[in-house]
Amino acid sequence: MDKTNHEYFKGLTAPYEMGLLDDSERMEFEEHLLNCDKCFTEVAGFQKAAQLVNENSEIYDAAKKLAEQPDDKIIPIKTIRAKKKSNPYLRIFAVAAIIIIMIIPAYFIANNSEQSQIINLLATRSAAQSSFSIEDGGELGINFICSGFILENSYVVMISSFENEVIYTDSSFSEFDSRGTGKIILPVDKFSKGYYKLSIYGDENELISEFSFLAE
Amino acid sequence: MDLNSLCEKAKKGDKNAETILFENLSNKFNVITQYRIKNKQDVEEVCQQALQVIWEKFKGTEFNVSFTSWAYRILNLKILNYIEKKMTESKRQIEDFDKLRHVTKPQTEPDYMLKRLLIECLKRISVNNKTLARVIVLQFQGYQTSEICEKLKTNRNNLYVALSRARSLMKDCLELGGVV
Repeated sequence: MDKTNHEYFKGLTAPYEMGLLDDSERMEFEEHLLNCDKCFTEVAGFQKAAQLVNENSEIYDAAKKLAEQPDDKIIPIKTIRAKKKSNPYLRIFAVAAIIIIMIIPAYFIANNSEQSQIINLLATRSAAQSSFSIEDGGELGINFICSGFILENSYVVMISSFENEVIYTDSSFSEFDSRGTGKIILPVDKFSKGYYKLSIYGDENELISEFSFLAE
Repeated sequence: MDLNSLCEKAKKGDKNAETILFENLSNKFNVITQYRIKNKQDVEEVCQQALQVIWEKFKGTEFNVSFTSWAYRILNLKILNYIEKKMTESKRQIEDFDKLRHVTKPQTEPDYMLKRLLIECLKRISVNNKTLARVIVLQFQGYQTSEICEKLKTNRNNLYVALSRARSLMKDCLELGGVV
């Protein structure tokens, strides 16, 4: 294997993060990190997650349960890939269809004066990355994407300012789409400038997830 | 940012290049050292020791290898010295050190959310591929790579490939907030 080849070191990233490289591989990889900004950025960006995976007992417990499950329901990745047929015309058509599907909603959203802004809340995003403008008025569509939702269940959803002023509550929220995205539409004039949080609670009042966003 | 080029400029008296060189080196040393030393204060101390030696010697040293190779060797030596020092401490301190490895941090929001997300993403990718879950368990239990390969009935290369795929899936899942 050509050890000046970047692809060789890229293949060592995952085992390095898990502490599985032998000493000589680790030293080669670490020296490569000093020389390769791309690999370094990759490793640095994933470091916190990797450390939790390696050290956190809750993640270990979850992994143990998963590892003990029987394999009979596994769908081999190779089998799925083998079913794909290479058809360039089909691919071109699919890309065109996706572009059209993306443009049509954007057209309606742009012309829909009632729902003028949309924010997508992700657990990994900071408030500043999910912000909207008060001055634009209209309505605000809030999409929140989180794992762990069972679509058939209902949840308590609350939106409050960071000073704990509640501006929205739904004690039996169940408006999830098939991908587990929750949607709420509120008039922008309900908000004043500042930080807000959207909190989701289960039926035993346990906090399931929390997102933050910013009204500018 | 090519550290070897920056070093050449710094050796010729370019103060700006010297500053950028050591800032970059410090940043990279920190990340590398954190994978091998758990205590954050000790990480900073070890990195500072390595950087001190490099700063004192780099201008007057004719490298047989590249600057980055030379610098890395200094860091690696400092890390090994630290590990050896820890290993020779009393049994009680070693036990505490091992116990600390498994203590979860207080549930501050960023770690709590990331942890939940990691667990959910692990569940999602384990539907089709349990390799990562199995490796996490074995690695946590202290098995070496060769032992893990034996238990999973695979070889080192295949294990690395499987982990790379799993990492790619985990990363995609994390970036989407748990939705794959």
